[in-house]
Amino acid sequence: MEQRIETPAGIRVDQSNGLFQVSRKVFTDPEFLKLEHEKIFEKCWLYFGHDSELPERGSFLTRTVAGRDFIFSRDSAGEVHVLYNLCTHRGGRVCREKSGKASVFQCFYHGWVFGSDGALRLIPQEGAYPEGYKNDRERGLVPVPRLEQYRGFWFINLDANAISLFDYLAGAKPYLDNIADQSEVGMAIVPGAQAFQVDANWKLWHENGMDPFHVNTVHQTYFEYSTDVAKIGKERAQASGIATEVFDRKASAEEMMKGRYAALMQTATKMKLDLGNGHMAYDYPANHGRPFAQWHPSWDPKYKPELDQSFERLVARVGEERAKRIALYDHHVLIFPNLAIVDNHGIMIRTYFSTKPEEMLVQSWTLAPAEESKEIRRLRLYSYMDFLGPAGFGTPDDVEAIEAAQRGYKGAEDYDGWNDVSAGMLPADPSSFVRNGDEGRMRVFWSKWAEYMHA
Amino acid sequence: MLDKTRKTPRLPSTAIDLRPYETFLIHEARLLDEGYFDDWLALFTEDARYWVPIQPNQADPFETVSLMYDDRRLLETRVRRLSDPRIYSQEPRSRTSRTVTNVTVEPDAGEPGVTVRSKFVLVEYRREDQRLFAGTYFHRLVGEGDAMRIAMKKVELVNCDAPLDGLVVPF
Ligand code: FES
Ligand SMILES: [Fe+2]
Repeated sequence: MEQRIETPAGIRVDQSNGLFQVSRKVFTDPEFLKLEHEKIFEKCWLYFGHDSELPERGSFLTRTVAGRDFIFSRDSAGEVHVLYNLCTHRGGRVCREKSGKASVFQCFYHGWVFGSDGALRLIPQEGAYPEGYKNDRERGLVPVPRLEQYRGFWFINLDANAISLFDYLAGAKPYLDNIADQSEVGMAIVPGAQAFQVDANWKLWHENGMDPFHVNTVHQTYFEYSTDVAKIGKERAQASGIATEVFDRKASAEEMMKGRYAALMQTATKMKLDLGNGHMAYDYPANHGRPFAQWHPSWDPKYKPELDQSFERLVARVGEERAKRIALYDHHVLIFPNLAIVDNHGIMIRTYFSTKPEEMLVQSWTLAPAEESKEIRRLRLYSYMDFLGPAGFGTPDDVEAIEAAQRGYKGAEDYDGWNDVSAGMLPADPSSFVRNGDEGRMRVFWSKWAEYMHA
Repeated sequence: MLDKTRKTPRLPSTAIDLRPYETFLIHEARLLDEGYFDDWLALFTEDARYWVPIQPNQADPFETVSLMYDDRRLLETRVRRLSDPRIYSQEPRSRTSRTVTNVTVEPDAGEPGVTVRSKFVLVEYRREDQRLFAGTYFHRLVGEGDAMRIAMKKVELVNCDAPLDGLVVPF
């Protein structure tokens, strides 16, 4: 028998037998969730919001991240703050609106007034306190311990001693660059955030986002539909004199995997799939239209000129090689612990967090170049809602799959059940990766997860 | 905050015969409840739109993400998926009950057809879980009698901006 390394943190690795397992308790046991909150969510950089969500001085919004209520605001000097939305007097909720513009926030409980930078400006009963009482920084709204941004993506950290966001993001930065560089003037969040309540543990969604095996089974109906649309579109395009051979890649999962494999082999990390610090990504040539700079026959030819033009402008800006990488490939990047950015049918930013082991709140936004035309924006929203929305043709089936798994885990407590994440650990046929992909990215996540849980 | 500039609704005219519209809406609700999705699709015109906004008072579907904004092609896909055995989010199928009521005709906005406003309550039961949706329907209806068709259906949910689980069955 090979030696088994059993960790209290819920994973079991047996390298020489190619076995990687995750205890089903990590999805059901409140003790694990408590530890995750403490050891992961209170230590890691967490996505908070995008710079474009605070377009002007005085813009603010309220948002719950890691179960805490915050105010995200841009003060009168243009500086961005993330403040606990909790009055320093006796705990009233200071800002009760979802978003807006304001120069001050007044707590409705007893009327204390705070500036958009969090400083206490006014106490109605000022005479009841010693001279200068309100000027003490301690009386101001409490700022989140750390707040940093990279290319317009703002992250918070609850640990004042954390490494910088720049270092934390490690190999994920080029992926954020590839998104930020899709605009000449700046990317902007499209209004209309989506939220889902899913009856499953947060880690199941993160896993789903890097799981190549489910695509062909869970999303069959979607792929058949896109194949049909592409076929009709091709005829329409040819009828209007557009050559379509270049788009003739078969829209099958197998072709996608080949593309992913080829793309991976070009990367510095080769098969490692690992961007460092638990982040991972994959790229593959898109076999559908991309609302930034790649037209496809499944779309009306009237969109082609603008998309072709944005590609040319991109080449002029970043060079041909990077332009191709940005425009012709789909990109998924998963940033540890709970952020997924998907750039395919549109750009989706998604976070997930559990306050109970068997539930999660998913928050989702879409990002677009601020300068794109109304026509392309329209196309983008169709393309995005098709697959990625709560009523899209992909997401509900993903939700069904992970909710069903979560329900089953409850029973698995009886017999100490483990999930199997071994595919690709020790492949009998190494070329199987090309055909099917493997679960290597999930192991990147789980290994880092265990590392934090042990720390 | 309430918008102080908005106009008070006028008492609906009693001169309009609502029965043809009510009958149509009740029929549509029945087709959906009983799973006649192809027949439901056939109620829409070729250039129809089906819109479920994500924000209260959302002005348009093009500058803001929506829960659903389907043209005919997407609506066809939605229906096709609903009848596919591999739509796992409908295995088991939802059982639904729709009540349509408070039917009135909106003032003429110069568009073809008649816009009918109604209230609905939708109870959806699936996998030991019952969900309740309620809101306002706006149907722009063209044609008459058997030839009456939906050119636009807008569904304003009272909880449009709440965290929702997957939405598969149309409203
Ligand atoms: S709690 Fe805010 S003013 Fe008293
Ligand atoms: Fe999926």
